[in-house]
Amino acid sequence: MEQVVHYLETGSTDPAYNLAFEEYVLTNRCEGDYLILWQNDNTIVVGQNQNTAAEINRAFVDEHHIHVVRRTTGGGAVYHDLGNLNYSFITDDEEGSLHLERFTRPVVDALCALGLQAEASGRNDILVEGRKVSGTAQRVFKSRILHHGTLLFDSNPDMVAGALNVDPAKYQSKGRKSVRSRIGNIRSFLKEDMTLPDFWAYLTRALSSADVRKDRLTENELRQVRKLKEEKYDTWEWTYGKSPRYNMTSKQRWPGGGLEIRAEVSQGVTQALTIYGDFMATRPIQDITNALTGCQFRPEAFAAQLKQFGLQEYLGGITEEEFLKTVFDTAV
Amino acid sequence: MNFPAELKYSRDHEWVKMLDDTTALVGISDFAQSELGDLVYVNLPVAGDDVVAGETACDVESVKAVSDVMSPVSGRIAEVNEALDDAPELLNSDPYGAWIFKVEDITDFAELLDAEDYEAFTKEEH
Repeated sequence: MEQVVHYLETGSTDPAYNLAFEEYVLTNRCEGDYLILWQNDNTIVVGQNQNTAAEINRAFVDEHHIHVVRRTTGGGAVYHDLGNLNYSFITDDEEGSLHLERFTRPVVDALCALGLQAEASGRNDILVEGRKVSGTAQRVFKSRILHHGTLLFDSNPDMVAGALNVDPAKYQSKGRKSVRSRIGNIRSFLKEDMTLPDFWAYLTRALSSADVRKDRLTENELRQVRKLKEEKYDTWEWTYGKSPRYNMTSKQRWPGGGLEIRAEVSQGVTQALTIYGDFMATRPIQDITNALTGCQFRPEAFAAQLKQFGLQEYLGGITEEEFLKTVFDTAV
Repeated sequence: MNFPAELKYSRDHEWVKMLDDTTALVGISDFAQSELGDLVYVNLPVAGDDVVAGETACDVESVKAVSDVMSPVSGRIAEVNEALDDAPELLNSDPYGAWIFKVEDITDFAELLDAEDYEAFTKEEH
């Protein structure tokens, strides 16, 4: 690292904005070393190559109004809340940059200096007394590298567990799978208690190996960040549509009969769909599968297609809402 | 480190194998796979899409990082190597056999190096 570290804050807890801010710095501030510390309000962040639907507990996400976003770095899904602090290092991609040590060492040292028994573990984690307190991921962009990580300081463990509690049988794909770990909060290991703002201020100093210079994006740069947020990170196409090709199988019993649906999804579009069931139908289900094939694999798009049918003729006592819940675990 | 003489290389660490004047296979070099470490996913491009020399064509994910694969040529994706869907590790074990995509109707090239110059480039860069 060079002599000066540019320190930035995003001024937001909106995950789509924060990821856009980080991507903007990675791809446009092409010289110097940057450190960003930031937080997301209740959010599941999935890895670049994950199937989003398979990583989230849809019902829980709806119930607790949890944001869902996709990042551009690798690895598995994580849950963030305001008890979690994220750090991003952005610097030149030099020899050995991809070695964990270069970026995790300062974080491990900063935690150890607070009296914690912190250690780097496996490829991307930092553990304290056997519990994961930090997960990291990286992205290479031309001659620059982004290394970012979470720091669980005082997160709600029930929310972490609930948000990521998924049905492993429903989706099959080649995308990156998440690995579940036993997590811990940094605050619970501290000898002397600190608040999150104290911890944040401490890290600003501890993670900068040289002079920290408070920096900010210009008004023009912030406009670009907002544009990137709106055109990429806020869109269904990026967050869900970009999932690697996958198959879904779902089977549910409703008062009107059993319903089993299988789908093949690629580029966010329904490539094939099969509907089985013992409901009382008077018209061929093929009309519905034809209408849904080629349509975006999302509840809004399915609902728009289903509107044109008198569903009771095709699905007997099964309602549109039940049909959508069988496929998506949510209705519109 | 292996640098087959019959291939051309980009400074972004892709290799190009010309099949005829306007058709080529593209993959990542032995040097690139070694820097990235074990590949776990190849986000293949889509046949029929246009690619532009020097711009992102797709990305690969290793245990360490996600990295873009830049297209060394401008043209249209004719075919992608579906075998990488099931076995991304082929990029590590056989980087010059495991092509990622085939480009046809090539109209332009990024600056390409021969094996000797590329090998020298990987040494001076690091």
